[in-house]
Amino acid sequence: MRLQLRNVNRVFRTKAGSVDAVHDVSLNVEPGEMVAITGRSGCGKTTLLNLMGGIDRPSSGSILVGGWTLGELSVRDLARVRRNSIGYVFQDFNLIPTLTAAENVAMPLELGGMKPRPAAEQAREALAGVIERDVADAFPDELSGGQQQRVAIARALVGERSVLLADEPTGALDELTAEVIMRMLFERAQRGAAVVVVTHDPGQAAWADRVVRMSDGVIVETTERSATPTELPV
Amino acid sequence: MSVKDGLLALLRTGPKHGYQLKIDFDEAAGDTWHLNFGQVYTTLQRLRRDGLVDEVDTDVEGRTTYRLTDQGSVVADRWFTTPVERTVDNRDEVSLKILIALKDPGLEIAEVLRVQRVNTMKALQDFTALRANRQEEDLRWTMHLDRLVFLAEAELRWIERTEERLRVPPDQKGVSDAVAVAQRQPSL
Repeated sequence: MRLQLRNVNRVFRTKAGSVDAVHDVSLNVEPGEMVAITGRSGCGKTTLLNLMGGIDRPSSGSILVGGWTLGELSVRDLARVRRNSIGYVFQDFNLIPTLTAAENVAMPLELGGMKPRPAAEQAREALAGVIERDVADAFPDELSGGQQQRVAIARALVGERSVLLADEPTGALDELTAEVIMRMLFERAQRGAAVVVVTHDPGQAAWADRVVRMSDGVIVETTERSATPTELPV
Repeated sequence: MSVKDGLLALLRTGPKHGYQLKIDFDEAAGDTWHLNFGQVYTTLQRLRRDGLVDEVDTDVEGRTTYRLTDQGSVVADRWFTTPVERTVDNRDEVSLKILIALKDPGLEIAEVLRVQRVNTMKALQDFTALRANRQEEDLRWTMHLDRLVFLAEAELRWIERTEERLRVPPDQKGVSDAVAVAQRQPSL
């Protein structure tokens, strides 16, 4: 699915006045493409990701996911698009504390209409790709930050959703695990998903085909990788 | 590093002839540093003269096999157990360019930083994709790319830190503010 942002603005009104968190951003992310949004804290990158995921609504402009304009959908239809088409990895994991790791991962599948047993099987498979087997039945508060992050990533990756959005997905992880996670997102893009990763870390951003840099709510520069690098640039 | 240290180190695992040493060296260097055979041959001659290697035999194809002498073993062991002294590249063009730019109030330093950042980020993207598309078993090449990735990351971090020190939102303020800020900071 293609992700399209057209002249998107998001203004937050505070007592001190209004803040242009995102200002006139237009951006397309094609199926099979991985885009990183980078910039220093407060530049608007997380706000932009929340808008893409339908978690927040723009003050003006439109956001299209696979042809649907998020702002024109009913609450119910928006929930359906988010559940079936968008995988989201939050900065603070957002796991449900009363469900086990495996149940957290299975939940979007069951909400999408899958029977509990196949959903549980798929969830365990997705978990096995990112974490040791014995944590599947643990509750979030029994897991370390890094483990919770991996469960959150499994929940976003399960079910092959066609848009993947991740906010600082490797924040709590060690170097090699972070590389495993970035590789998963990279490979998911190679298999046709539209992937957007928000990160302040240039090493993580560099996994993307396109790195978009934001400053004060505006896209200030875009860097594209060589089409198919096969040898060292010299 | 010197070719001498490399050849002595490669001989630790057993006697080898010059061509095998060249192959092993090139492979270890991730095919990023190719020795020519003349270089290998003259180095081996010098090592023999200094008593660090001796000749085992010469096969029918005329290839001479070399092995470490006791003294050579000591030198090879010492190379592995002694840390490499940290050298600092004080002539790095990227940082010098920015530092010189600070002296030029007529220059748009934010633009100088931006142009460099785009270029270094692109190189980092290319290294990362090269590494991602390589097979796991190609460990040496992966490790070599890891290093290039980290060097590019370090340069990007330096550029970003510099921007913060100069407090120039790249899309807004002009150079005069940046230089004014820079000149107020004696550490720069």
